[in-house]
Amino acid sequence: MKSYSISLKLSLLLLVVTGCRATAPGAFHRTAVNWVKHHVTVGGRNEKNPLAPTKQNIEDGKQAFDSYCMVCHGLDGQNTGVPFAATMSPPVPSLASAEVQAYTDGQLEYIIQNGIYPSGMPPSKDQFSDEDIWRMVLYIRNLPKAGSLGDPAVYGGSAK
Amino acid sequence: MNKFSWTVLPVASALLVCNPAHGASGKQSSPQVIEIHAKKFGYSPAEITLHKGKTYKLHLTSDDVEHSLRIREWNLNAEMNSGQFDDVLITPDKAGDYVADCGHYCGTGHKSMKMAIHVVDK
Repeated sequence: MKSYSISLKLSLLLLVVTGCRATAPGAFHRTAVNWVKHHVTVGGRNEKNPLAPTKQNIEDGKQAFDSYCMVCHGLDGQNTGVPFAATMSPPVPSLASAEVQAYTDGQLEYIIQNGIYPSGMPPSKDQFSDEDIWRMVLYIRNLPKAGSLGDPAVYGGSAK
Repeated sequence: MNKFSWTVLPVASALLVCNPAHGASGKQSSPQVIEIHAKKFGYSPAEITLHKGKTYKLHLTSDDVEHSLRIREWNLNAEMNSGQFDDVLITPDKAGDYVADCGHYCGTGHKSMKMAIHVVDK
């Protein structure tokens, strides 16, 4: 009975250790979850951005992005200088990737507002006004060249 | 570009850009000064009333972290930094109620950081 109990505990420990480890999702998992996000769980598909993509609105979106989102997405939205971006599970996607750019403006606004599961993306509706979130969407649609803004200062870069 | 241009022109340009009716401001030599402090998560004073056509100098500072005073209708987003004062000249040219907010993310209450600005006819 005692050996059974020890085996059970070791098995549970093994399950916890291996099951909780952050590993990259497989190709099937990634494809399936991506499809579900785009077509089922992420709302706002038909919402239109009420703000025009003016230089000022894009710059304002960049400023909001650089003060908050850059911690995970880098200043350029492409994870430049973010040390954990590739090792999170799932990894932090480049916002310039086809996977992200395939979302509609309304879906991007929905994700920023509400976060997205399963991922580390948190809801930000209590942090920013609706207009500021729409400006972030404009910045995501007009990202600079990857690496052009340097690493965030918080990770040892000189960019602020 | 000489030293004068680098130091004076940006300040002059900033004042013009931040002034919603800069064409009328030259008639007044000493604008009324309004001192405004920013602190997580509000402004002091939280509400001001201005007269249309009159020029004011906003004397801006922060009591903690980096904030700004942003008034979209006036194309204004003035820095408010701890340990220093920055001045912005404004001459409101349209009566109405405006809302200023913070243009720098400053913490969990950032979204609620507002200031009411009333512009009335003389």
